[in-house]
Amino acid sequence: MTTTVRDSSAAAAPPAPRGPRGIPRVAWLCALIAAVNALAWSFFIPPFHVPDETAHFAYIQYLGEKGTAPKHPFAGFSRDENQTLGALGFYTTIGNRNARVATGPLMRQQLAKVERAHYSRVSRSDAGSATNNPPLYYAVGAVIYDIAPTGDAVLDRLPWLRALSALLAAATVLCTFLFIRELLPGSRWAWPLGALAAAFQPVFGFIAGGVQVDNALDLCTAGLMLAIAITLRRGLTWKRGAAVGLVLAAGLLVKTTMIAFAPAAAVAILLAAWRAREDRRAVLSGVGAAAVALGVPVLIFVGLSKGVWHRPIAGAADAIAATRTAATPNLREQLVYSWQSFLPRLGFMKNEFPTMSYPGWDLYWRGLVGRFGWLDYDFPLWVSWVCLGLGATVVAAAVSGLVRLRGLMRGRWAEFGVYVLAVLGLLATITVAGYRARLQSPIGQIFEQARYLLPLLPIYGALVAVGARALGRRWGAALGGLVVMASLALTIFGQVLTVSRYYG
Amino acid sequence: MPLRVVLIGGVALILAGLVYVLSQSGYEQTGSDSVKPETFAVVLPAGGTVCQGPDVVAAKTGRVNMLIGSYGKPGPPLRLVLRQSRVGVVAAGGLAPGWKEGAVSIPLAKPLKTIAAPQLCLSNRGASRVALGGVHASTPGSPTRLNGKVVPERLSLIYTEKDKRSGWSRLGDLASRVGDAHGVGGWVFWAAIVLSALAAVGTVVVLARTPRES
Repeated sequence: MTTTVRDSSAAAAPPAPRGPRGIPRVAWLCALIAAVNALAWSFFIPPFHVPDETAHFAYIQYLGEKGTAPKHPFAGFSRDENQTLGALGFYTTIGNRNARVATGPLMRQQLAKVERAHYSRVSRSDAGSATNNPPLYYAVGAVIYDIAPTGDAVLDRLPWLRALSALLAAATVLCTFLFIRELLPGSRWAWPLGALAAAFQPVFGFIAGGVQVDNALDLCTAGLMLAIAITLRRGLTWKRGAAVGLVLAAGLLVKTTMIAFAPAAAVAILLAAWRAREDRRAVLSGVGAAAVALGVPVLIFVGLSKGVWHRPIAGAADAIAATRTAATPNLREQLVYSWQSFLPRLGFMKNEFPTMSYPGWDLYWRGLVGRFGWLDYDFPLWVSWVCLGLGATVVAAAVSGLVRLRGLMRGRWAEFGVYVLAVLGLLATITVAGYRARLQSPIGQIFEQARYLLPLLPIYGALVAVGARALGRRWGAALGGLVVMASLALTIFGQVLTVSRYYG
Repeated sequence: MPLRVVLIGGVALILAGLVYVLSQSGYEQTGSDSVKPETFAVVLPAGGTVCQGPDVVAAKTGRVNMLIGSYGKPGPPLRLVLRQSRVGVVAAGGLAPGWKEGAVSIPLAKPLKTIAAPQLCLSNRGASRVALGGVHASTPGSPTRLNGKVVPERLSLIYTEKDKRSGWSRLGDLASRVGDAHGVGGWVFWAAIVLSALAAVGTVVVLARTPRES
C-alpha cells in the first residue's frame, strides 16, 4: 500500500513513528519542558488575565452545566463568574497598568462570600467573544470542569482547565519536534533546537498558561503540519490521507481559523497523489480516506449544529462577513490592508493603519517578542531590536542554506510550496478577518493580535532548525542554542514582568 | 565548543539579569483607585481643595502618587489629608514648594497602621494653580469635590509604602499576593518559580547533551 516518494531527498526519512516507542526520548523531554513552562506561566498569571480567558471559561462553564453549546444573543457571563471577576477586581485591572489585582483580607472576604453564595453557574446562553467557536475544545474542557477534584467554585476549576492548556502545549511541541524530524531526517542535533525555540516562544508560553481555545488550534495545526510532512516524505497511504483529513477536521471543530490551512492540506494530498499516480489504488484510497476523515466529522457537526443545537455552523465567519451597511468591503482596499499588515506601505497606498507606524513591527514583531496580559504590558523597545537582529540572522542562515543546498532540495520545492501556502493561507485569513472587523468597528478598532500567528509555530521551529542546519553542526548548534537561550530569557523576564505588572 | 559558550553565557546572563532586577529598589504599591491618568482632569486653583472618597487605603501606605502639572513653574506647596468619618485624620502629609511637575509622590508623615476608608483631600497652599491627572467620568454621584462642589471627575491615585525596598525583601509579599489572586496560599508563587527553574535547567541539559547523542 505504501507508495514510493519519487523525488530525491537529503536523507532517508526516519522510520514512521508507530507509537510512543517510536518517538525519541529527547522529543518527550522537549514536550515535558513545554508543559512545565506552561504550568509555571499559569501559576504566575492571575485568573482571567490571558486574553479572552473570561469568555472561554464561560463557554466551558455553560457546556459543563447545561450539556449544550452556548449561542447568541448576548446575555453576559454567568452570575457566578461575574461575581468572581468582581471580587478579583478584574475589570479595574485590565488595560490599566497602574492597577494591581485585588489582594489582601478584604479581597479574600469578598471571594469567600461569592463562593458561599452559590450564584447561578448558567448564563442566559452566551459566552461573549467565544460563543461563535465550534465546541470541540470546550467539550474536553467541560469534562475537566465537571471532574475537577478541588471544588466547584470558579477558582477551584480554573487551574485544572489551565493544566489542560499545558498538556496541549506539550503535544504541540511534540508534534513540532516530529515535524522538524520529517523535514531534516539527517540532522538529529537540530530537532530539539527548533522544538525548544517553539516551546519557549514567549507568547506561546503565556497563552498556554491560560484557558484559551488557541492552545487547541495550535495543536491541530502542528498535528496537520506533521501529517502533511509524513505524507509528502513517505508517500500517500490511506492511513496518512486519513490523518491529514482527521486533523484538519479536528481543527475546524476547534476554531474556524483552521480553514486557513485547508488549501495547503488539499495541495499536499494532491501532490502526494500525483507522486503516486502509477499506483491507482494507493491514490484512490489515500485521497478517499482524506475526504472521508475530513467530511464525516464536519458533516456530523453541521447536522448537530442545525438540528440539535440550533446554532450557526460557522458563527465566527458569519460575524466577519457581516459588515456595517455603510461600509462596503472592496477588494482593492482589502489587498492594500493585507499588504500593509506585514509589509511597509508603498507610496501610492492609503494608510490603512493610521494609529501605527508599521503593523508588521508594532503589532506582530513586538507582539511576538512579548506583549502580555490583555495586551497592556510588554518589553522595552530595545528588546525587540535585539530579537530582530537574531531573527534576521536565523532567516539569513535558513535562506542561504536553501540556496546552497538546492541540489538536495531538488524534487522537494513543491513540498516547500505547501508550507509557504500554509503561511500565506493564515496571513490571508487574519487580514481578511481584520479588514472586515475594522469595517464593522465604528472607531476603526484593530482586531488582529500577534498570537494569531502562533499556529505557524511548527514552521517557526523548522526555520530555526533549518537555519542551524545551514551553518553546520558546530556553528549551527550555537546559533540554534542562542535562539533557545534568548527565548528562555524572554520567557523568564516575561514572567518577572508579569509578577511586577499584577502584584508589584 | 561554541554551543557550550552560548549555554554558559546565556545562563550567566539570565542569572545576572535576575539578580539585577531583584536588587532594584522601589516603592511597594499598596493599592490604587484603579483610575488611569488619562488626562489632566481637575484644575486646582491657588488656595483650592479637592477631595475624593471615601476609598479603601491599605495598611502600610506611606505615599500617595499622582500626576500633577504646574504649568512649567516650580510646584506650589501642597497639603494632603486622609480623614475618616468618626475617626478623624488617619494620615497627613504634603510637599514643600519647588517640586517638579509630572509623576509626583506625596509622602505622608506616618504610614497607615491599619486598613482605612478615608476621604482624601489635597489642598493647594500656593499662589499658582495645578492640574491633576485622572478621568472625566460622567457617572452620577461621583465622590470627587472641588472646593466643596461635586464634580464628575475622578483623580488617579496610587498608594505605595513610604520607603523603598529591594526586590529581595518584597518576595514574601509578592508570594502572598500571588496566592491571594489565585484563591490559594503563597505556595503557588514558589511553585511557579520552581517550575520555571526546572524548565530552564531541563532546556540546558537537553541542549548540552544533544550534539553528543547525534
